[in-house]
Amino acid sequence: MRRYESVVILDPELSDEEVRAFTERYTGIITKTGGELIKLDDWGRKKMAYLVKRRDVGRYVLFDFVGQPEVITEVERNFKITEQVLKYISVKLDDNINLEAFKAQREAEAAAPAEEPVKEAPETLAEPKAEEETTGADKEGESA
Amino acid sequence: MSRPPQRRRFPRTKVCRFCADPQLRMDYKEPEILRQFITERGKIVPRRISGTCAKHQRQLTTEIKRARNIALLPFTVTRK
Repeated sequence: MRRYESVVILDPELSDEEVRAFTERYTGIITKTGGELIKLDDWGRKKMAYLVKRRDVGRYVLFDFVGQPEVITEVERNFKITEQVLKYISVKLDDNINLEAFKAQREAEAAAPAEEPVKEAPETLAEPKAEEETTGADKEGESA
Repeated sequence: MSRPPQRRRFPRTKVCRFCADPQLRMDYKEPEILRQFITERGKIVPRRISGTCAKHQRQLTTEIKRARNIALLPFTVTRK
């Protein structure tokens, strides 16, 4: 099993409802292809550093999931054909993750100190540096 | 023929900020940290200026490039 992380930039005009529908759809895709979602994070609307598809604001959503390589190909294929997606990036965080051990560790961490930042866990787990990335190139509006 | 007197410069010894402070993590999702390592034009600050060690500079470049890809950092800043 591999651990991936995808940051997706969505159309900022989408309502919260639509964003929820989007994330649910992708959670479905991940689980259907045998993966499992670890974390879903909506960063909200953010000003982008340059125009993407003639827009300067984007809605950022982060997916953190585990699965076989087929999961990422399927997820990225869908990102490419979904019009709401302006841009995305996927990063492989871990090449060989033991999901059961990982979950146990996370639960232990959650149980022990409550104020322990949850962010620390993924950071240390990502340590074996085997990262790879693929990016969705957008067709237009790359210029600053 | 003697050369004009050269002023010797004594650069401050620079320490890699990531080695000095293990708490400081670089992550493409946190552009605020990465922003300290790019110039106003959006270029990556070279090692000889920032003092970052080779290992961390390598990690830094990949993180900056990732951040650029999802529009958290600019590729270029052109302003007159």
